[in-house]
Amino acid sequence: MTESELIELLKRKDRAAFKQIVETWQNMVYNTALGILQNAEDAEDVTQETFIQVFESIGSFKGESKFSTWVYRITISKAMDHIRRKKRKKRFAFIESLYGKNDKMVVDPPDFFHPGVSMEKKENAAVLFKAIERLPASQKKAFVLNKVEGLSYAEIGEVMKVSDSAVDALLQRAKGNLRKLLQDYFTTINK
Amino acid sequence: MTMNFFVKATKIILYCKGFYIQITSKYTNMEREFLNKKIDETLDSTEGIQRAAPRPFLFTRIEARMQAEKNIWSTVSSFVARPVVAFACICFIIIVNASVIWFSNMSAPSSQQGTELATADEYSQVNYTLYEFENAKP
Repeated sequence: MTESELIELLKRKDRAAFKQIVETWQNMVYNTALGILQNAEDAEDVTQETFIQVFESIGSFKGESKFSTWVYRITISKAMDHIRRKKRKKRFAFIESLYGKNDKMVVDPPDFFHPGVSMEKKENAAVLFKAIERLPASQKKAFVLNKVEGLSYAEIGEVMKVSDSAVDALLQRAKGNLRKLLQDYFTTINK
Repeated sequence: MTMNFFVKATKIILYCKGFYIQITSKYTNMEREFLNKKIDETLDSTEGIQRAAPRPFLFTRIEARMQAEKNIWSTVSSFVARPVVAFACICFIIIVNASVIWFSNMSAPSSQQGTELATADEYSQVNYTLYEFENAKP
C-alpha cells in the first residue's frame, strides 16, 4: 500500500491503516524524541502522544509537505512541550520543598546512553548528550535532526520551516557552543 | 641614536609580553592539542549511530491510551448530562443569583447617593416653588 493510500484510509479512521502507519514511523518518531528528551520513558510517552495527534489531526494534513516532515514537526513540538511541562513540575516541586510540602528531592537525571551508539563511543556520546541538553531549543532541534536522525540540511529546513542557510548557521552555532561546553567539561575533569 | 633606542626598547617589551603570555597561558600546546582531539572525538561520537526502537507492542499501548482518554471524556460528559446533575446545577445558579440580588437590595445606600446627599448638605440646596417665592413673609 502506498503512503498516500494509507493517509486516505487514515482520514477515514481505518484501524489497520493507523497500525501500519505506527509500525512504519515508530522508530523515526521514538529516535527523534529520545534524542531531544534523553529519557526512554519520556520518549515513549511523546511517541504515543505524537501518534494520537497524527490520528486526530490527519484531516488537517493537506499533503503540502512530506508526511514524514509533518510527523517530525508534531514529534518535535510534543517533545518541546514535554520539556516545558517537566521544567514547570520541577520548579513547582522545588517551591513545594521550600515550604516543606514535598519531601521528594529534586535530583539530576543520570547520564544518558543512546542505545544506537557503538560500545567504544558510548562514554563520549554520553558527554555529548549532556552538552546537547544545554543548547538553546532551535540549535538542539537542528543538531539532533542532523546528528541523531541523519537528516540533510534541506530536510531539516523543511521540518523547521527555515532556509538551508539558516540551518547551516544554526548548526555552526550549535557546534561552537558544544565546543565551549566540552572544553569546560574536560578542563574541569582534568583538574 | 634615540630612534634606535626606542626600537630596541619596543622589541624588548614585545618579547617580554610574548613570554608573559606564554607562561600565563591556560594550556600548553600539548594540552591544547589533546583537548581539541578529545573534543573532536566527542563531537564525532554520534557518527554511525543506529536508530533506537521503542519497546514492542507500541500500537497496543497507543490504542489503550486512546481508549482511556476517550473513556475519561465520555465519563465526564455522561455525568454532566444526567438530569439530576443538570437540575442541581441550574438550582445552584438560581440560588446564587437570587442571594446576590437580595443582599444587594439590603445593603446601605450606594456611594453615588451618599455623594449627592453630601453635596446638597454642603450648599444647603432647597427647592423653592414659585408660590413660596411670591408669598414669602417678611
